[in-house]
Amino acid sequence: MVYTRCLEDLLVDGKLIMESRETVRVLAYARTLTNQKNKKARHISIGASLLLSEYRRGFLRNIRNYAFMVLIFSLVLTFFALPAAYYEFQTVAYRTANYDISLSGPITKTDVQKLKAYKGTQYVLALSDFTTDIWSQSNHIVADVYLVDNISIASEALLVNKKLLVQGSFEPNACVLPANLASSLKVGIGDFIDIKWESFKLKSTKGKSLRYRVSGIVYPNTQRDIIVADASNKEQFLVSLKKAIDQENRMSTGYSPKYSPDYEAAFIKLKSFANAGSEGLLDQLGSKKNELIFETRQQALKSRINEAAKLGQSYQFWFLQYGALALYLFLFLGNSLKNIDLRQKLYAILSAIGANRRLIIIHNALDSLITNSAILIFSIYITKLYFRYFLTFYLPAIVVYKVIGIALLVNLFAFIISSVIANIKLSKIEIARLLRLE
Amino acid sequence: MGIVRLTNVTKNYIHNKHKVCVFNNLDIEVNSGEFLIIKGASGSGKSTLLNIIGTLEKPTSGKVTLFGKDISHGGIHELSELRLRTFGFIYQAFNLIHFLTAFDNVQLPLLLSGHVRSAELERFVHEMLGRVGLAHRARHYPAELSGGEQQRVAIARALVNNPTIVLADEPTGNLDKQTSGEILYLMKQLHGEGSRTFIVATHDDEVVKVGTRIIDLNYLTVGV
Ligand SMILES: Nc1ncnc2c1ncn2[C@@H]1O[C@H](COP(=O)(O)OP(=O)(O)OP(=O)(O)O)[C@@H](O)[C@H]1O
Ligand SMILES: [Mg+2]
Repeated sequence: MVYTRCLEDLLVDGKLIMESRETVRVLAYARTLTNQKNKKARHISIGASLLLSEYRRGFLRNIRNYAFMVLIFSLVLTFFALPAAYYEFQTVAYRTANYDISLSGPITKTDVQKLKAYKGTQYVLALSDFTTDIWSQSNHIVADVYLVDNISIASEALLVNKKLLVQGSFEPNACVLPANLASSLKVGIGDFIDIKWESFKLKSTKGKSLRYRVSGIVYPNTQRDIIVADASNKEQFLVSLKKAIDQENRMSTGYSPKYSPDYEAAFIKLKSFANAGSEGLLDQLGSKKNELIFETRQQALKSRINEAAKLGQSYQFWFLQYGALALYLFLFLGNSLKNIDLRQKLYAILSAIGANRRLIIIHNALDSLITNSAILIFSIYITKLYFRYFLTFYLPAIVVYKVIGIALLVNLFAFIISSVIANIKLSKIEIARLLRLE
Repeated sequence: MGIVRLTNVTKNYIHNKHKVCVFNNLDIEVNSGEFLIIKGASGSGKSTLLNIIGTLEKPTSGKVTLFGKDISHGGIHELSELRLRTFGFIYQAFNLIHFLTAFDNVQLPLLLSGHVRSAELERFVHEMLGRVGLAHRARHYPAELSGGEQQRVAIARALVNNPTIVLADEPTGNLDKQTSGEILYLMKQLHGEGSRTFIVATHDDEVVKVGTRIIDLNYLTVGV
């Protein structure tokens, strides 16, 4: 600082460079302006503009490196998010549904009356369950449909319930379906779907169909994708359809069931639920109870939780997680070391023309901050794509936050380590040697 | 008047645990305004001497003063400030920043010394490029310039902050005879027009000829 020549000197011996006193005056003015400016801000702005020029000239050279790092890092994020996402996928429906007991099998109206009559019962939701053809304007699939007689109870009780809605709501005379079915049918809220029975290949179902407006879309969760539709005013249609199907089946197969069931499943909510209490409920059905499959929501949830926990406990999976993480850190640190080596010459030139060490450190830190953030953003995005298209899970919000948290933590760690190493390396740069010959 | 004085300067390198002595107890005084030639055989320490004066290397022992102040033991921030405003470097290898245009290479020292980008600054940089005959190459990258043109850009960069002392290490070493002559003429012209001091390391006889004084590191004798 002591040796700094001041601008007045230029007026005396600066004729060579400064043609006119006008230029000198302007530059002196510029200097007084900038001297008041924060030095650090100047370093950041020069560092950033150097980086920008460098990226512009040689961006493609490094893109393959960075793309590879993004790929690995999104794998890391996927592995770390997987247990939580899988847990969510396995359990969320059973945690949010409001029923206590499910029954499946041939259920009649009389059975439902008996269940409703039980003193501990709060409600019974009985439904027709078909695995049949679903048509939209542009596509058709085979899927499970619950035709329910009370859509408002269904919206609370079922495994497809209103807490899982991504879009829309449960509405009378409409249907709700999981996002993956909606996307294969290419339908959204307000579109129509047709339920048909063509694949039954029966005369009695030919040409029969039910049309529903889509009023809601839910997260896909359990392995079974179910469409829920309000059939409260379709009772006659369903009864005669089932009778006709039974009759035709009886004629062709000779098999004759004792009765035609009115429903295929029932979901029951008790006033106060205890596992033991369910025995009293089923006794209402007499010997019929042996024909039905009975499961409490708690049992189902417990088995899902056990299933989900297997992934997190597996040694191989742990190895995969930390192996991928170590590989990423290795790549990241290797890359930042390589960058410093590649930039040694630049830093030597900058030092020789009078750049402050601080500028060089800021330049290097800015570079790793920018590449870091880019890797972070792209990786999170690609992780979402992995989940959606490769694992076909949806990432619930809570897992997305977890992914972002892990990503920030890992990158912060990598950034700090690489900055420390960079500062050590930068302080050892041999300027004179680097500036000799290429 | 001496602006740079080396007193008892010794420089050793440790190479594979062996001590390599480049020079011993060197005493040199550089006068203001001279065009000083440092000559000597390869390995005699010309580059090392320039780097010690330019604060890029530290002497093993001894003292270097600039305007009477000791600069051989300055702090890193003080020394970088000194290189920014007092010294200008020209190298055999040009050492331009490859991803910056000629214009940006020349502008950089001005930005470092606190100028902000402006139309006036731009005009000044163009003026500077004009001085070295490269006004028409401002937007070219170093790779798109010939060796002689790159060296002209390097000279403009070295002089743009109006340094007191220009240190040139074999400035014509990478150039053909014709281009060397042009560069030499340019340096001589830039020297003649101001009261700036040039210290030039070379073993090019044409360069030696234009010096106002010669120091031969082989004999450490002073000529002309
Ligand atoms: N970093 C270093 N480590 C070890 N020895 C070095 C180092 N730098 C220079 N030397 C040695 O110091 C001596 C002087 O080197 P220097 O480059 O100053 O010579 P020079 O006169 O410029 O040579 P040339 O004409 O070839 O450029 C040489 O013997 C060289 O090998
Ligand atoms: Mg040399």
